[in-house]
Amino acid sequence: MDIDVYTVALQIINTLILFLILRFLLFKPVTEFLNKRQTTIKNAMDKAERDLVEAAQIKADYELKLQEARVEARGIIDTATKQGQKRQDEIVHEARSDALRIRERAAADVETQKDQALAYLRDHVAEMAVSAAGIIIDQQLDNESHKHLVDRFVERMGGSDEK
Amino acid sequence: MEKALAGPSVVFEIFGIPITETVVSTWIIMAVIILGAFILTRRFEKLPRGVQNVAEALVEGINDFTAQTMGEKNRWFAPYAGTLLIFIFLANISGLFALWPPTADANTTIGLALMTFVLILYSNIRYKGLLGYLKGLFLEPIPIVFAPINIIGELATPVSLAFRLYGNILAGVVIMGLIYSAVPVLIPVPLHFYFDLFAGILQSFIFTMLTMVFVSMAMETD
Repeated sequence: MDIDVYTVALQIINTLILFLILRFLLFKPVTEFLNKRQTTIKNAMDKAERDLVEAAQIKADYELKLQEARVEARGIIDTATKQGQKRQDEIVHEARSDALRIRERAAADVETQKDQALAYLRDHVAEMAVSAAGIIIDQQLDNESHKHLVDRFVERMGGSDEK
Repeated sequence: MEKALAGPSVVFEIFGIPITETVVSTWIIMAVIILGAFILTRRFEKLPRGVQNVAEALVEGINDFTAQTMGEKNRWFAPYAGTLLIFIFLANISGLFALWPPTADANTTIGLALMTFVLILYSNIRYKGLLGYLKGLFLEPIPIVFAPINIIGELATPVSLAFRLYGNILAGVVIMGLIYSAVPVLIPVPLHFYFDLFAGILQSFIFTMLTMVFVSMAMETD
């Protein structure tokens, strides 16, 4: 074998050409592509992580709000129930007192009516007695039957009056 | 076997420059590599499919190999290291494809070693400065006395690189030639695995690795 300057030079040039072509064709684009993909994946993962943290934050917020809303709702229901209970009591109480008042008035009315009726009767008993006496007198009854009739009449009136 | 000992013959001449079998083999290997690179990177998609995986694994492997050997900041060296690795590997095993292995010719390995030597010199001068480099060469560890040893050590690097690769591959070619002339059937088959494939892979790795180590050593400023 001989050391041949031409061949050495040619081989150096060949290697340099191959290096430049491979760098242009293979190493540069693939490395750039891989880096880009790495960046893309890293970004996506970072974003996913951020989103996850954010989602957890939002969830915690909502849970807090929900808890607050629950407490508030319970409060409202309690208040409403209390109010309703109070109102119910009031209504029942009112109804009771109304009923009592109505009954009292009705009783008083009945009493008044009864009194009126009695007074009326008393007023008219004499009149009726007189007219009845007139009728009897017209029939010219004897004293005894006359008296007997009047007595019976009065008695009957009184009897009905007692009832 | 006579062929292996005679070395590559001149195929033709261009403008008086002899084109040997070595150069022709190199061109064929270059064409294969370039075609391969072209096919591997033809359609790149976001989701890797088929040969794209091979291209990604290859480039990423070489990038990581470079970063491991030379440090993360020297990833830029990966394309040259990858070129060396791929070219030397294919050159070493090209004997399997009935080509004259370019690395079995000292002219090729001397060329490659010279390129490494230039890279080492460049890195030394760039990171230590010309004066710093010469000072290291002539005045350390003892002024003048160690200068010849330092210079020999510096020159030994490319020489050993060139002849290690050349010697290993030529020895493989010669031994395979001997075996073929003795037992032409069956016996050579497993031996091809050792002398061509195994030695080929090993020597391409050694050359590339040593180039990276020497260059990154030259870049160290102590």
